[in-house]
Amino acid sequence: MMKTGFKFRNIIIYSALIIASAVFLAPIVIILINSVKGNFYISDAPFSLPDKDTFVGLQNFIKGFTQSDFMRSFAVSAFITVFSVTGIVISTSMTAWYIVRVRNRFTKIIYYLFVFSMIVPFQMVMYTVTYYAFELHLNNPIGIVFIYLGFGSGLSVFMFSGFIKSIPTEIEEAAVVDGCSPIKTFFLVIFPILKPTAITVAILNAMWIWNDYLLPYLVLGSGSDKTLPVAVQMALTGGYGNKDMGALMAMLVLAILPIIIFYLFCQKYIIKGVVAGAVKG
Amino acid sequence: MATIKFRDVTKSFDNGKVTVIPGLSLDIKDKEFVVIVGPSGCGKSTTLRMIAGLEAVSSGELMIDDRVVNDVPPKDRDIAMVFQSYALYPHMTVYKNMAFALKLKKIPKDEIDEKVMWAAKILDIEPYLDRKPRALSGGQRQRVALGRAMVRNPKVFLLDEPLSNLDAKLRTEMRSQITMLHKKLQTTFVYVTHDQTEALTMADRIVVMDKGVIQQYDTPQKLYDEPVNMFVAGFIGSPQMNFIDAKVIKENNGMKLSFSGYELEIPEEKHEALNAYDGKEIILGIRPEQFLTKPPSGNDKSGCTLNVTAEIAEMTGSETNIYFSLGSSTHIARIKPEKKISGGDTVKLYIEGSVLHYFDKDTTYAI
Repeated sequence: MMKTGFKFRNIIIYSALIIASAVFLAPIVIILINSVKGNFYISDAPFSLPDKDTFVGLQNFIKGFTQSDFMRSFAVSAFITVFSVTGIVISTSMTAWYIVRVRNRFTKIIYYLFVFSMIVPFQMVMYTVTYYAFELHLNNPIGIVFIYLGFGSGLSVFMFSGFIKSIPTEIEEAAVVDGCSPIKTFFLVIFPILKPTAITVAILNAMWIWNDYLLPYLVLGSGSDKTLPVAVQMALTGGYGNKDMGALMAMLVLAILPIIIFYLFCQKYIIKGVVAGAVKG
Repeated sequence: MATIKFRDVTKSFDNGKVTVIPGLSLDIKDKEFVVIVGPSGCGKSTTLRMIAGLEAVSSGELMIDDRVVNDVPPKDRDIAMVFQSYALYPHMTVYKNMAFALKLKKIPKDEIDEKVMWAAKILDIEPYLDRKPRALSGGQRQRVALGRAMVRNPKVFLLDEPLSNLDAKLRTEMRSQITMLHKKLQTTFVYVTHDQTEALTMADRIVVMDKGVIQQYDTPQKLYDEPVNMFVAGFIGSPQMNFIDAKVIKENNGMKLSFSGYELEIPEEKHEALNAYDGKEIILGIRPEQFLTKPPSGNDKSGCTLNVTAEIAEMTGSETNIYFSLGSSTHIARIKPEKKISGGDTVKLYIEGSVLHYFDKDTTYAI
């Protein structure tokens, strides 16, 4: 009796999960199948699989590549993502180490400020951020790295703090006795131990920064330094708002490819990192 | 040569609000194996951490090799420390763990290799050099921690409860290994533990601490035979010493102790010391193994015979622990019975007056 009940419950859970997965995957699948279809067929039968009449091979990809400034936007996005993520991982892990190990009123306040910054929605601060970004001349690919450093540090400090609390202080003391300075202790002992959390933090921030539309649109605009999401939206627009949908789909496929590869490459660490931070924090 | 000297050293936390060590003076000789022992929170680990430089000295002078090291960072004190939780670097192999300190000192690779292999051979961890700490057992990790300290060839070895995470069998094994290591390395060892068996079996001299104050600093035998106060008497020895309230009675031809309806003849050599206590209460200390099941064979005419009821009899192999009541308190005797004793049996116990301990009831110091 119990076994039947258990089985029935499993069927419901699995069905719900399959439906949820299908809902999330559907847009990606639609983009994928339409990226190799002719423009007419995309609007005529967007859900049909490509066949010998509709299939146009890599034509859309070539068009998307050549008729937009895809490569430049790709480079801008890559530059911003790589430097922002590197900056976030290094600076927030060091900050979290300091906050966890040096316990006083000051570090407590700093910690709560970081946590508080996580719950403030971007829309609430976007006008002031944009204004000051222009005032401080941060409206360029280098400047926006610093803005991302600010927006990404709340969650990252929170995650690193949780994990660092689980590292015995004796390990750091052993390093001090062995002859490490604080900087050496951090980079030779603490940071390697933080690897799973660092990778998790890197993946979460890389996904968000790579795919972000609003902040780069507000700060960098749609000029020559636009990022990939902005470029995709701006590109291939013909007369009367007409768009080359095939090339657009192809650009979207190319845009999401790097981040999917990065995620798949590091995904085994993401669970480890999140769990370690959550459970032991 | 590595002596350690504490000169009126104090240690306080929270800007002087909490004083853990109120004033410590201690001399540790070169090549000596000193064990600091005491209950939790007595300041033994803080003392060790001050030697290591992991805790700053609040006042006084701490000297290693006659050099004041109060402001010398840990790496420049020429010490090595073994931690309770081993504190191995989890991302490094055993080899890298052991070589880490030498690498930081920029010692040539060949020399590092030679030293690591030397320590690994002594500690029998050669087959595990490529493993990460998580792939080792507790005992193996402990040996790696020792090896990491050994390769540095330090002046002073500091060990902070290094065996407390091991099971009983492994602890006994490692105990003798550490003792042998001390003999082999001929270096000063300072070892912290709350386990008095470890202290008694390993130390040249033992520091017994309580509430940040040294109660007694002496050889294991001296501590056992001549404890200076009730704290040391109770802390050293297992099961712990029995304490019995007794009254000193001076008579024409001698002195007696009266307790729980019994009278005990005080040996002559103690008469002078106990003279001032005539008519007063003192504490009588008897170690569990000082209860005998046969009358003492020597010339000692002091002592007395107790007829007690065994409330619980614990067979521990070669000996039996008997729990019995005298007055309102329960005491314990460790005897070698000729026949089996069970709970409820009446047992005759003999005490020899000359081996007993006498303590002042007010000061708790030995008389």
